[in-house]
Amino acid sequence: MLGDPGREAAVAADWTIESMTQERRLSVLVVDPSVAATDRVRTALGEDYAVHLASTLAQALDAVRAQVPDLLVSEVDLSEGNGLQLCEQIRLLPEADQMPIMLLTERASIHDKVAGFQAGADDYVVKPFDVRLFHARIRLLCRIKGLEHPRREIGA
Amino acid sequence: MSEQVGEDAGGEGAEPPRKKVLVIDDNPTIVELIRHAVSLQGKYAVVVAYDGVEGLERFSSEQPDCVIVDVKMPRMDGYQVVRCIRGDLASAHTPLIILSAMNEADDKLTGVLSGVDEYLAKPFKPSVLCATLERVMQITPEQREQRLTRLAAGDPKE
Repeated sequence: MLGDPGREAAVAADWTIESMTQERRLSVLVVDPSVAATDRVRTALGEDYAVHLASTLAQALDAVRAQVPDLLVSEVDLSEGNGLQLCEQIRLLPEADQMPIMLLTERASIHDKVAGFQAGADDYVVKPFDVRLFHARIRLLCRIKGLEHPRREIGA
Repeated sequence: MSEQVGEDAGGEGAEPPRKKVLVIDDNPTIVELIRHAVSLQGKYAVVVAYDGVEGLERFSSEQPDCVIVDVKMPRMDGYQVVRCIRGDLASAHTPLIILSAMNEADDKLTGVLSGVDEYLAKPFKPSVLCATLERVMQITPEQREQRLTRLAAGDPKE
């Protein structure tokens, strides 16, 4: 005989509420040379995230080395360097090789998407984006990376 | 290869145009099994690709109504294909099915969190694949968005 199903449900509900209310704000590093673009991302992320900004490859790498964020969202076209180089260099940092990376860019070609994943990005979202879907994808990406953590490299 | 038995069945008179299903799998035998299963009802036309990158190319050129995709493939895996399709508003609401031999709970959850509508195990029953196909074709953009939002919030039922 299993335990009291009512009690189990109540415990599960407690756990859910607890995990929702005690969750700390996730930190997101947003890398984009356009202020308008970073404003849109900041607005889309809302109050749930501590948002940090960078506009160049060097700034972004410095920021990651100083403190690895929970998540990185980067444009492909940066004013110096590009988002693919950023992905590749981050994946070489032992402390950040598992950090979720989303490329968020106007580049919508298949070639660009393939290059993004090959460079080490985990997700690829094309601008303009839907705010609600974007918000959901950020969370989904964090959950996926949590699953993947012990075993990387799904692809061929 | 497109002269598959059953593919032209049921095409009488004023039938609505058949929906198009893109199958992406690196195993040609599996591709033909899926093609056969999906074609049986005569409701669907099938186009195929044999790796993830070719899958995205075919997706772009064929604009299918639904995609059935494997996970482990050369060049780009099925999760990445799903994220590419979901990450572009032009294609974000395409019905998507993963059909994979990777059937650990974490594999399935990774697929679902990547945005797939259904995750089916190989080996598969043709009838189950067809029923799943019918089901995902009925999902509305609102329902899909609500589900993704629930998943994003960490719904333990998913």
